[in-house]
Amino acid sequence: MNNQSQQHTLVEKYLMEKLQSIILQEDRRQIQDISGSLQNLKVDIDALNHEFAKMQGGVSMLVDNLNNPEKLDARVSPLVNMRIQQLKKNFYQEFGYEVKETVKEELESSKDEFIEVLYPIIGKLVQRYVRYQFDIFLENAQKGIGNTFSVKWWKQIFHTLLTGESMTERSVKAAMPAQVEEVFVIQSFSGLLIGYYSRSNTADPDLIAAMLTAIQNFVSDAFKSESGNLQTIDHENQRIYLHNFYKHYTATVISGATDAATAEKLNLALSDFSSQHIPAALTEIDDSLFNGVSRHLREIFEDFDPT
Amino acid sequence: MRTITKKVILTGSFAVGKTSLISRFVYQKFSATYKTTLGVRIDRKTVELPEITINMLIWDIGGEQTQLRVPETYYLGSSGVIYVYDISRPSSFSQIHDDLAYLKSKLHDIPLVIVGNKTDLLDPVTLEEAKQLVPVNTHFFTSAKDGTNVESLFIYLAKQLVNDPSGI
Repeated sequence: MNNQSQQHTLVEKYLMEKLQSIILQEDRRQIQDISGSLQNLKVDIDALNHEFAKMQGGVSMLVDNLNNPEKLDARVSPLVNMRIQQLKKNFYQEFGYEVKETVKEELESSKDEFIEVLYPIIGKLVQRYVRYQFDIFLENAQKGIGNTFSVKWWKQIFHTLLTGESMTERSVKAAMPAQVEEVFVIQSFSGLLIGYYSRSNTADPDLIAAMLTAIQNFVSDAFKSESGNLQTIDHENQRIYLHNFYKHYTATVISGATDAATAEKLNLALSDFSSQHIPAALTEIDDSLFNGVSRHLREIFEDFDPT
Repeated sequence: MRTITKKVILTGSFAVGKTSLISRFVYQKFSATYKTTLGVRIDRKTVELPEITINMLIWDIGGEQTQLRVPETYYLGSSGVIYVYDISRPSSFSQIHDDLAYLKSKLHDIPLVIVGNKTDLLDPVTLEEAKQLVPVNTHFFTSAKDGTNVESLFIYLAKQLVNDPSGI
């Protein structure tokens, strides 16, 4: 029994081992695979640890650079300078429109401040211009004096004797020739514009006509004057001559040197004009009347010599 | 289209909103800051009607306590008058009878439009109560601040100026 039993046990053992070998073969292969993967993973982790250590070094260096102004400057300055150069080169393309719009908006919303800043500069320019004009005036006057005892001078002497106009007046008129700048024909009392001539068309003639009438009304009221009227208004180098007719009056703006004869010469011209071109019955002022009167004013006063 | 020019007087007691009314009409804006009118302020506004264009020269007069202090000559030659009072301030229409009588004595047979301004300052109930206090018939209740009835007022006057009895 023992012998047989032992033999039997060995066979069982052998069979069991064989069976195990067959059954666990797949498991062993998988274990080997896992073991290989783990080995690879370990290698990767080592590599990552190495990279991480390198990155830590880099971050430390970066923090060090950020905290040290000199090092930061050395790093950042070249980049900033490069960007500034680019902006300088392409500023208009990159910001031209925005800057233009902003400046336009600021100028429009700060007109008063703008004028305040410019006023002293403009003042200096005006001063310079006035000085320049005065120099021209002196030069012309000097020429007049230089002609003393010439044929022209004797002619002037005779003119003075005949007309009573002094040589000084003549010199001033020659240096600053008078010119009709604007003529307003205005309905009395209402202040409505009947006709208008202007060399430059610089302002709203309807409002100027109304304001001139208001000024006349105010003066009459203030001085309780029923028949007296304003005759001239002086403004800088211009003089406004007012001529009253029955249902309308005229305001003539003249620049340059005028004299006592100017008002009379204008009065004659305007009287003729009024009798010919202003209707006796002025019930309504419409564009047809205005355009007709304005056209006649231009014909007469464009080349009119008021002196 | 034919264009005619007319002078229009805008008058009334001080601080009733005359200048603001004209600003709203002429420039389509309202100035919240009241500025006492010095003597006269003149503005121009063109109103286009179907058949004719009216070029209105609006004389914004006074801002004085009474009409008697306004130079009489300012009224001469005008074709229409707008009389403005402040509906929220009864003292501004306390002299309305005297003022209107004075205007009618100076300006014969021309359209006169009476306007109660500043309706925006009153709630609807108070506004109705205030209207009962006004001793004359008012043509328009306006607000220069929000624009209520301002355009209608001037179009109405423009039609009156060309003798269109239909008004609005």
